[in-house]
Amino acid sequence: MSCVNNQFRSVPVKVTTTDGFGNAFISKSTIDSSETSSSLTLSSKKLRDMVSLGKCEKKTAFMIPEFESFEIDVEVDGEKQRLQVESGVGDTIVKEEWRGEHVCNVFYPSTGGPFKVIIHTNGGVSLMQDARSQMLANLGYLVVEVGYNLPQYGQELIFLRQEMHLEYFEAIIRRALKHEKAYGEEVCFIGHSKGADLALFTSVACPGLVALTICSSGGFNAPVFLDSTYGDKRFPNAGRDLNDCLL
Amino acid sequence: MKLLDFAHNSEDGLMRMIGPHGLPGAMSLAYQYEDHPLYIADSYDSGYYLNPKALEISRSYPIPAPRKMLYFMTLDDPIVAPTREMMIAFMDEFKSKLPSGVEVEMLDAGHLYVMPDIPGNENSSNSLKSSFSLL
Repeated sequence: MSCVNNQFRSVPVKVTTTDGFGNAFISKSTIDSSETSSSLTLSSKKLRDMVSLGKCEKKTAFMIPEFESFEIDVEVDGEKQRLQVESGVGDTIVKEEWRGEHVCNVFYPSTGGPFKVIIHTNGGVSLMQDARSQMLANLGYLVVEVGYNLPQYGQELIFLRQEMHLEYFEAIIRRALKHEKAYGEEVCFIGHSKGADLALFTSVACPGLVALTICSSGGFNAPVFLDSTYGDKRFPNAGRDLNDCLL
Repeated sequence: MKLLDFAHNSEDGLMRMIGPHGLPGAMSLAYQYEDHPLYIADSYDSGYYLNPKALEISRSYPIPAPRKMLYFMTLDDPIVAPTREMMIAFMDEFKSKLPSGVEVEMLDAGHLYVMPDIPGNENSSNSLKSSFSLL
């Protein structure tokens, strides 16, 4: 790092994130050298911001692959460093697969325990999106990634269902709490997009099981696309009739 | 009107949706209360506004009250609202009526604001000469 005339200079930074399909997402920025120490330290916040802002070098749909590995190449002031990003499965965390009646991937730390339980529902795309669950497991939780729209595992597409039965998620919570690595009698339920309303209304239906609900980017006072039901309770949806969406 | 009436083929082969009157944000047209779209537009110039009828119906839906909830609503997110102004206006409907234990935070972010593949476990290669390090 150098200072010119007692002024900090602007240092170019380039971050290239390459996903499991070989798609490269590039982000360029600068950091004021006042943001660095004498050894040119790039903060993790700056790195995460840049990774998040990366633009794909070719036109592509934004696909969410089931997590395998990522490479992040960081170039600061012409010097390069590569980060190999792994899920930690088989190393720092354990993965279990539930299939059949419940379609879930379960992650928890390889050592220690028992662990508090997080139930996680992602958006409605037909993929098991494990990455956030793996990240949380690496932080010391037993995390159950719940599949609910996965025809590849025998589930009916949500677009073809009449309603979503919240008993499915309740049963998964109860099963998770009985796991030999689970701690406690309540869970945190985290949901995103379509998964947000599933988390929200399961939490309303089963207050004794869900101590904390964290949602993002979904329906707020009603489920999206199709009603949710729990016993004789019905939570009417605020979404266009899905038949209306079909060609 | 079918939602896919708003779909258009693009040069890159992907099908994209364009809203009424050529406005962006068609995906959020999926939100409707009892057949009344939440976001409507009369013309390109007027842009979107909240449909009073849909809002009226929306107010009859109880605000869910889990024991404790943090809800992060994204502002630059055409999946949930065509514009950030519409998202703010819609959530303003609830701001003064939030049940105890429910907090709502507005995020300046898109739908997938957290890249789902951000490090679960990161290892820095030691093989490359480096005079900088990552915190």
